[in-house]
Amino acid sequence: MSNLETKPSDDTAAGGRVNPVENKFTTALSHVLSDLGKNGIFIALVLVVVVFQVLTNGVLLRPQNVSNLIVQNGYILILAIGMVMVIVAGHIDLSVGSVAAFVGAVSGVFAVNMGLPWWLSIILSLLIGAVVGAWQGFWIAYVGIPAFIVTLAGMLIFRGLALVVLGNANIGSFPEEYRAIGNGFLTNVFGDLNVDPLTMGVAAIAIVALIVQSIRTRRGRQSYGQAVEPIGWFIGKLVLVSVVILLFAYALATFKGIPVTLIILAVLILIYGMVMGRSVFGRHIYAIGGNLHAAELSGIKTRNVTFWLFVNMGVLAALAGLVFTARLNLAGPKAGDGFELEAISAAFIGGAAVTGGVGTISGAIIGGLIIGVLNNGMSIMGIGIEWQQAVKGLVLLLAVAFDVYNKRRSGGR
Amino acid sequence: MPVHGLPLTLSSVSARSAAGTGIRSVSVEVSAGAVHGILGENLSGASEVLAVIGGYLPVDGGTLTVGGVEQHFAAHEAAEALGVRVVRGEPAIVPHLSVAENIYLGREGAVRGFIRFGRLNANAAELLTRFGLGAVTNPAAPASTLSRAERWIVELLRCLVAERTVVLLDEPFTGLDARGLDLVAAGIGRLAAEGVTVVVASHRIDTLRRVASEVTVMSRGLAVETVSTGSAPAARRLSATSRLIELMTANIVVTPRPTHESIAPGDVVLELVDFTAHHPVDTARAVVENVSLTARRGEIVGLAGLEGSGVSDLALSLFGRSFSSKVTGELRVNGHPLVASTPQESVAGGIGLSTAANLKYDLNLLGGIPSRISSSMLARFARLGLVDRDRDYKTAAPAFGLGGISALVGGGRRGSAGGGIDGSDFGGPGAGGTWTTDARRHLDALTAWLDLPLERRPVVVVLDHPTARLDTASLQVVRDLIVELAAGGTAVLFASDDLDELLVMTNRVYTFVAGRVTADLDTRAASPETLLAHMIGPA
Repeated sequence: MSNLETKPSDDTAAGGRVNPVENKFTTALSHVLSDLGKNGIFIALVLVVVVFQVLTNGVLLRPQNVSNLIVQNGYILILAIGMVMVIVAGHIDLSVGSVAAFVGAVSGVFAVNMGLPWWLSIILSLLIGAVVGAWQGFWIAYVGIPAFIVTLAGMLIFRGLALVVLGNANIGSFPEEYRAIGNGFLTNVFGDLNVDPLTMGVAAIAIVALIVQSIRTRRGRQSYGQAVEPIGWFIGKLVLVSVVILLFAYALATFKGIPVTLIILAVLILIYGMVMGRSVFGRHIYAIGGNLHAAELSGIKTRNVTFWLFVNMGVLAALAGLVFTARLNLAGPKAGDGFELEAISAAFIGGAAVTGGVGTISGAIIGGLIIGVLNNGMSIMGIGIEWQQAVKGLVLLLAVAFDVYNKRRSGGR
Repeated sequence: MPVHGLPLTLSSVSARSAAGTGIRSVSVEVSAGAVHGILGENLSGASEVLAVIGGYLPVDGGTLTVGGVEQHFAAHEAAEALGVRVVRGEPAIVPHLSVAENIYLGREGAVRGFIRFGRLNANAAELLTRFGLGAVTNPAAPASTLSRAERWIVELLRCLVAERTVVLLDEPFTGLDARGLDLVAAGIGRLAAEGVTVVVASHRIDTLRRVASEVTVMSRGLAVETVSTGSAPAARRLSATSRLIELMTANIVVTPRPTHESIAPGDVVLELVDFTAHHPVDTARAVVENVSLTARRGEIVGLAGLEGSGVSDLALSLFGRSFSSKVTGELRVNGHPLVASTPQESVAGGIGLSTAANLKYDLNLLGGIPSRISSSMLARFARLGLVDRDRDYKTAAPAFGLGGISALVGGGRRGSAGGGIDGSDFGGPGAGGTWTTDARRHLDALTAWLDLPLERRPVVVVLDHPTARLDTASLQVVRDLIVELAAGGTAVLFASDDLDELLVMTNRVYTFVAGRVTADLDTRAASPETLLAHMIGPA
């Protein structure tokens, strides 16, 4: 009875199984192919960048524009992090744009009208975001109203409240420290040099950390007897990623240094990458989205997870609102218009599944970057906003269609 | 991890479900860490025994003890608090989480909120090895890559990890091939060896005999006998297949045959040759395989099968291929081949269907119109593109031969617990008693067909478990209508799992096991035992 070999029966999806009879070459090839499949979204980003680099005659990757790409899209990327988590759980959040506008307005009241210290204004604003998230989470998790409805209502409610808070006027001229979260740069710490050494130093540390982490993961997999990719491909990939990081850092270093928005983003990506990949909370989000019934039967407090998920989304929406307000130095009634759609697009382009259970933080970030490069590149080319919209819509459709096609081909469900 | 399974006893327990099924005065004793089998066909009450222990069905009389303490479970949560867990039908897995995460779902043993994947995978690998999957299953692979049997092992391991004290498995062997059966059977044995008390309800005599040390045979809600399945000659004799079948049918009394006996069946009107159909979603799985059968004018032909036999799938795949995939083989009505790719084509070809199955790919019924109209039929009723909401289309529907369409509309699912909604708002022919919505659908379909003049009635009607969960009075109404329909010359394919009913109602019975026909029996010569023996199939 031991070592009973079960035939992968009819309902077994293809792949995912260790197959010892292949030769070295085919294993290597299958690794490369499966990597390309898994990183299809990353390749799409590279393609989009290359295309627009050519179309804009090299303007896209000029140091200033690279820096702009991050700063202009920071708030979308922050929203995309929260949004992909919501989508993985099988929900949706349509209210994030309105919540961002509302919190931006409230922070204006705190920081400008009331003259509170900038740090206190930010903390209070994030708390307001948490309260908004708790409000929506309550209706979704405990009352059981679909997230689509609750957040559609929230979209109207918080847009309305933003207007109430603003009272038909813009609130402007924020304190400098506050403005820094949208506009600031960490620069010239070591004096005014052509290439900022701090930026390059951070890049070097990032590369070393990446290499160490990759090797540790590889060793870990080997020690459990799991298949690892061929060493050549492994090193090649690391070299490639390192070069991209270096070039990116060089672009930032020759401009103004590291944008504060990028620091915020990097911290968020690291934290949420860990949360979704390794924490119980994150894995339970996948469990709920993948099979709610199984999650409940296994004693997971699904309602609490959903509730905190939306609290988290509220805080991230508030943060996005702060970054956007700081960047414009203005809290206006039109802030955050359409943010929810860009964030949702980012998550889906990044490989999240409409049915829930699938999606990654890194995918959503890359999806957000694709949208950002499209926006930025088309703007540089002088393409009107009307065509930009149409192209972005088409890209979203094609990205999801490609994903669906891929899944059907691989015989998955 | 040492698990302390709890012993359990039922003494003279009676219980009744909302659906009308139940058990009477059942006594079962299971010692801690043993595997106990409950053997019975669909109507035997085997599932109800599990439901009582799991707290899903309240005890009406007698006493239930778990761990030596008398229990009155108000809800299944109360039973779960004691570590009792019922697994019914499908093993529940999260497809995109890893095998290890699925096993430890909800009990990841996190340190400061973070999962130690190295340790988790190592522990899972060790558990998988103990349950016979060490060599083939990578704990880090996504659970969606597992076969059905492997998913069962994950489910069993999850029970072990969660330190369940009593695990109740309802029909865990459905849809498994021989190897999968071995794997799951061994897994169940292993779970008990780890200390967990396991009760398995099934109709599979051989598998159950192999898994369980003792088997209680159920028949019509009564525990007939408990036999031990040891290897001693005495035990072997006591648990011989033929004897167990005899016990399973012990309380089935065949009532006298109704009047349709006198009608002589006419020419063959329906012919199936090598008919094969696959599952609508899981297209690699054949649900009906190489089925050949015939039905004559005015003949009532039984389709007999237990859970997983493919009888309902056959009924649905005959009625338009939209309910199944990759249909091959020939379907002939009145000698002419019929290609039925949609329900409308089947109806036009003279086939009618009545089912309570919840059809995912159904007819898209439109609300608000006081009749049984699906969107695809709408064009025929519309005048200038408009449908008159006030007109009674009830009579219009059968005139187009779509009498059975009401039955095709989604809603309750056969076997779903407690579907006892009074369907009196449907109007229609008044029959006394309360009708479940499922039963009401069948009633509507039958009366609609009978309302038609003889020459416009369907050539063949397929009835998918029309009498499931009916009380005696309603049962008689439905049976009378079926006989009347056959008397009018319609051939009736009658799917059922009720042995007595099959023998009483039908002229001939085809028995099914795992999508294949195992026998074609003349019911005048058949007994409940022979029928059941063929429904359980060759070992």
